[in-house]
Amino acid sequence: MAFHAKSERIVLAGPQRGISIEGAQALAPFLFELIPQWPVLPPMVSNAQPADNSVAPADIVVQAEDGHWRISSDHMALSDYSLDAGYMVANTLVGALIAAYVAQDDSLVSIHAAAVRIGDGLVLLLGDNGAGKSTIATVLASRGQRFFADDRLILNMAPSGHSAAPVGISLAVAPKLRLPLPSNADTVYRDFVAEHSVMTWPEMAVLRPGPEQAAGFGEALPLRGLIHLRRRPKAGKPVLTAMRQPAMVRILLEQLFAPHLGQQGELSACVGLAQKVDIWQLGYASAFEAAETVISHFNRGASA
Amino acid sequence: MRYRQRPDINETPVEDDLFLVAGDSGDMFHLDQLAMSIWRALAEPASEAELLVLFGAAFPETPADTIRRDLNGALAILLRGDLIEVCD
Repeated sequence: MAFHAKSERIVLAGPQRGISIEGAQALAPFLFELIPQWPVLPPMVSNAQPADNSVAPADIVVQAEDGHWRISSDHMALSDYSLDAGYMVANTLVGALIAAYVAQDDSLVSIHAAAVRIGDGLVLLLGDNGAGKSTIATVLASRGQRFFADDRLILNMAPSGHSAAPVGISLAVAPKLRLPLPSNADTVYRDFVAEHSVMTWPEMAVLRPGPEQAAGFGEALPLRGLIHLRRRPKAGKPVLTAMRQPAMVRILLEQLFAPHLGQQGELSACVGLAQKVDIWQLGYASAFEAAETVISHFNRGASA
Repeated sequence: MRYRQRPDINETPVEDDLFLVAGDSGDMFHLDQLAMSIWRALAEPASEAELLVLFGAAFPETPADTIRRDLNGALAILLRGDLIEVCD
């Protein structure tokens, strides 16, 4: 991949203009494993050139000094990692990139959620770290449902038509899985993970599903369901129950990210989501049974 | 001592509940139905005694001590969040 070494900047596409990253060359191998399809632009289109010909400040600055990586951006709190944490820094850099992306358009927000196409729309899986978002999303992908995200997704809250459901937009961020896989993982899932793994550590794998299995950069689809995952190791069969909107709004307030809109704007986005999309809670013990429950429920809804 | 709503609070109703955003700090609050009822009542200044009479009439089967305890708790939360203020 060719970069413009003279500027020492990587410029990636944003919805309105390029997003410039300074000092990230050393992280590029990790970064582009995580965002393999994000379009790279020539540096000139990143920012308007100031009248005095000085170089405009980068949207995101990465510095390696004093044994630490530091990432700073107007759109995200400063992050600090030890120098041997290259993958973690690249992952945080993707977060900063997404924050800079949504900040260019008031109709965009980002959300900490997995997303899979089922039937004619996107189903989002919400939950804290460890709730099972990545596992269930990739299990769904291994069952033929189109994968959109395992952790972060862009939402357009104002697609044409006031009553239209918000639209999810894929950035084709590579899914990550905790290893080892669940002990009850079946052959279909194990084969899916083995076939699509591009980076593997003892505790984690990064996957790259093919274009038949996963949405490409910019692929968009209306939302049709939000599911809050509640993992209960001692639970029996998965139970899907309707949620009240205020409870979902509280969850969304923790997971939706749109600092460019202010607190009231974030609240309005959360309320809009809870009101325009079916909202559910899924209690489960097995991610495989949970995936079957989700497919069965939303496929039934699609044909009704 | 009488209380009233602070003026710089934005309300967002969601089903039967209410979310408030404080204008100055941007802090966000989710009010359950009791807290929301008190918040609504404090659109006009009222003392704790006046609120007790109001809620006692609204919930005649609830013991007065229970109403007093719940009212005290909710008022403390609203005061801590700077959602209401003492007006006289």
